Amino acid sequence: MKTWFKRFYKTECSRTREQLTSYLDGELGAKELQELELHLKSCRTCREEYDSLRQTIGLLRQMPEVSSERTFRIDEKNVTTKPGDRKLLILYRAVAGVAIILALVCIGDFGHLFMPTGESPLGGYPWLVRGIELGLFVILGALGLRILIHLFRRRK
Amino acid sequence: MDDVEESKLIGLSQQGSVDAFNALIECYQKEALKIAFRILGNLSDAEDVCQTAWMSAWKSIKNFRGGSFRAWIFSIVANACRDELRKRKRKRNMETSIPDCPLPSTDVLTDDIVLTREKVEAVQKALLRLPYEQRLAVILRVYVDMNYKEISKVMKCPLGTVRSRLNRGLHRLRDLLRDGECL
Ligand SMILES: [Zn+2]
Repeated sequence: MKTWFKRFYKTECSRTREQLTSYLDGELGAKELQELELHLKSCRTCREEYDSLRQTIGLLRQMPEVSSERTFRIDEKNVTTKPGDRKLLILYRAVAGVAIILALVCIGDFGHLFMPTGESPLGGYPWLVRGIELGLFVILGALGLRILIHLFRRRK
Repeated sequence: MDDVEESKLIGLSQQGSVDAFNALIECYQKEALKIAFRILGNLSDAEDVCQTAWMSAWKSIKNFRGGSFRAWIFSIVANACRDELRKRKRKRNMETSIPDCPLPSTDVLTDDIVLTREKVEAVQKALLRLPYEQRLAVILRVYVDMNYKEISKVMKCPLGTVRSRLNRGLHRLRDLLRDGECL
């Protein structure tokens, strides 16, 4: 009889222990609440347990407030140009620059600036060299201008 | 801010209004920082994490489908904290010089505190020794006064899990604080 009683009380205590936090937080149902309060009245061990948990919460709540001087507002600028975009922007600019320089080189050669004597590998076919250069000038120039226009529009 | 005003601001943010979103930040930043600081134990990390969290909230505000905005944003903050903890863990694996428990930064202490500095440090240290899930549950309960239902929304887990995490967390804290002679 005594051991049965002991065992009953043990499960009662362990159940109470599991519910003490919910009890402290006011999250127990009416029936559980009643049972638990009844047990607390009769069991000193569980009452001590309850007190220690209550003190723990009290200690946590006494911790000093934390505050920050920093602003966390989102900046309109940051939102329109994400960090990833910035790298892409540099790449765009570089490509546009290279394309325009190459286009200028082609047109310069077209006017015999670089090979005044016309001694190019395709010297026998000057019209072919001029044709290729003109084609490259048009393609590269258009590419460079297209990228510049794109960048200019985006800034607006 | 009442619910009507809040849902208006959320709607405007979803349409791309930075000002509306900034009003939401204004409203929840203080609590977000509390959570991050208690999880990480360091103010400047907490500030960085909040910044990251707000930015990712802004990017995904279109995916917010009603319900509690507070729970939604706190869950983003909690995830950002977890990422930060993982980063720390990886770092720690490489350079063993970083101590197990980062000390709480002392610049948050004010003059009118009731606790001694040693006690404040001991409590923060004890919090940092809880497993992440238990720590988060305790912090949401104690520092931003959420009830179990709200915590379950932030942590995306059933009520029973919240109950047991809080219970285990609190018992563990009690034991740690007793060992540190704080109780
Ligand atoms: Zn008992």
